[in-house]
Amino acid sequence: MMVNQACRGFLLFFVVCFTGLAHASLNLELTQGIDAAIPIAIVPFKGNDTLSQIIQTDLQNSGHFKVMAKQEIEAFPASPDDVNFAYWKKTGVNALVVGKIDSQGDNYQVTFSILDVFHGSDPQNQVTNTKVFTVKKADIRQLAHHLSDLVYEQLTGEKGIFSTRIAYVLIEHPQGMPTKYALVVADVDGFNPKPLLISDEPIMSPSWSPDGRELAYVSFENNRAEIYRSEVASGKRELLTSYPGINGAPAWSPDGQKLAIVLSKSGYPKIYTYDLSTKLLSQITQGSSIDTEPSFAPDGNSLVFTSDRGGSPQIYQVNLSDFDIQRLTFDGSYNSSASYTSDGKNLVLLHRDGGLFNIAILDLGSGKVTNLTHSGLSESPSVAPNGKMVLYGSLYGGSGILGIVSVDGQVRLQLPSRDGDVQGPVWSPYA
Amino acid sequence: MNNRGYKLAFFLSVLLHVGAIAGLFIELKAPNDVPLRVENKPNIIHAVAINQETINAEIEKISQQKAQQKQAQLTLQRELAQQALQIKQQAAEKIKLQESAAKLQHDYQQKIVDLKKQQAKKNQLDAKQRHTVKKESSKQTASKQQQKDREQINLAKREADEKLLQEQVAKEQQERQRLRGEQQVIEKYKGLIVKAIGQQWLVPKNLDKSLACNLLVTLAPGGSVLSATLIKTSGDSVLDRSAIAAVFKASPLPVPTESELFDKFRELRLTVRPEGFLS
Repeated sequence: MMVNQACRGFLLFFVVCFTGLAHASLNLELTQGIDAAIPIAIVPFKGNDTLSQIIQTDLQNSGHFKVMAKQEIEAFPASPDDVNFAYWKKTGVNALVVGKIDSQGDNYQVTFSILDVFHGSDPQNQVTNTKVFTVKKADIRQLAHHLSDLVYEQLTGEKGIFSTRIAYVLIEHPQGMPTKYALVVADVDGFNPKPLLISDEPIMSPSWSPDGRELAYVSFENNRAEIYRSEVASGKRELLTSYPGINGAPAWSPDGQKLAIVLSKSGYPKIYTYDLSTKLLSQITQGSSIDTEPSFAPDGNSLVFTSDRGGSPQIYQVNLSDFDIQRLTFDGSYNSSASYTSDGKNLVLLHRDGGLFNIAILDLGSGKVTNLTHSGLSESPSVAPNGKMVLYGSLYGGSGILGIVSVDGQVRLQLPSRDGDVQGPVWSPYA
Repeated sequence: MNNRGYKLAFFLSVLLHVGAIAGLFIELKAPNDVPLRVENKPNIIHAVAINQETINAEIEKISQQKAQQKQAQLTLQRELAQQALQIKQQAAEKIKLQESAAKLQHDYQQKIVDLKKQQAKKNQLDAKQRHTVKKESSKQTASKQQQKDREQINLAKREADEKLLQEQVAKEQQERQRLRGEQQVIEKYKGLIVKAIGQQWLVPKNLDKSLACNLLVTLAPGGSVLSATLIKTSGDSVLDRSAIAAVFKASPLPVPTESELFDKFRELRLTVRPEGFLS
């Protein structure tokens, strides 16, 4: 009996202890933080600095990262084992990218790691992403962008857009020579521009296919407006429409089966869908207004388009099953060039306010229009596949240049200028 | 009656008896007493011739005389005997008297002794009683005193109890106030800690208010973060890691300096849920 009592006593003691322990910690709730860029350091890769530079630029330009200036870095680890976490904690960065590059003939072998500075001290918790790549030396930029994507995804949880591309029309005016038009495909940072088509006649309105392999565009090479599709990798092209009058503003459906196009063969520019396999046309809008610039909704069930049916250019939406039309913009006397963000909640468009043409974003829920650019000389907005950035054309120093702005207005970039005017930029889908 | 009393009484009794018996052997000369003398004179008889008759007469006469004498003697003897007896009796009586006197005296003395004893006893009893009474009375007075004392004590106790109660109440109030004050201090520091961490917390861009993660944070005195472990993931590793990084970056966290209060802050359970931004 004594033992029994003793046992009970011990049990009680322990229960009290544990409940005591359980109540010994304070409960706190954190619900508000800061909206700031993630501090990160990209340590110059051992062997070659190019990669780290590209990664640094990519991440800094995304607006989500505050990259530590190279000149401030005092430690140069090349692999996770070399990392002195105490030092990096003091620098205030949350994450660290280290790597090394080995030249192997025509190739580079790249070893790269992403480290969480605040997990690093506990080997169990260390979040390291070490990867090894072998790439052709010519493809080094592509790899760098891929690494930027990896860093971006790991640290923000979102897909990076550093491996996406842009397409645009470059209009060159070589001295004493006729104007040259080129349909150019380049990296999203503007590097590696490659002409897909060069023509003496205007090229207009490029549009990326959903798989990112093709571009549809308007070419006047036959002295009339015609819509073509071209495979980016091979250059292989196909003539799609060549109707009398306007053949313009091709836009791919999300499933890649159709194009929405503008044809004026009925007398007025109207929206049609063109089935890529059957080649059948379907008229979507009617009437005597000018309807143009169609763009599919992410779910493919409707289109937005610009129309002056209300008296001035405004954005309308048409349902592809019942052809029901709704007006979407009521703010300002001129709204055009609309396209959806990938979540379907916003429209990015060209908005004129008192003579100034700026890129704006329309919240479809609230109807609120917010300007993203302010120069008044913008045009042709194209939304990035992550729905967070907008590529657009602008006039700068008399030349057409390209700019990128984030939908929250915080990031503003200008792409490297070209010799000539850059027009009609479009952002490719994810690679 | 104690042993010594008995012994004395007995001894006296024996003595008296011995004395009495001895007295019996003592000849008492009473004033009218005829000294009892037994003459040891030899009887000288003068012989004369006598006729027979005469002799006979004489013998008769002598015999008569003898008889008379005898008779007289007898009577005398008897008288003497009686006297002796009387004397004896008297003596006996005297003795008796003496005895009785002695007895009386003895008794008397005994009585005295007894009385004395009694007295002594009484005295003792008295004394005892007195003692008891004294005791009692002293007891009583003592008890009275005790009662008084007790009452006083009770009173004092009650007063003390009241005082104690008051003190306890005051103490409890103080304690409650202290706890409230302590609670206020704790709340204050909790707020400071949350704010400090919040200022370092880079809320993930894909703000999902429905997600939350739980961290267990241990602190050293002074607020240095010793560890921040994920005890419940939000399902979004980016959110989890942003929270952990924020805790470490905010180190050392603001904590009370007083060690007893700080002890409550040694272990924190932090729920992190992205609802918005610090203004």
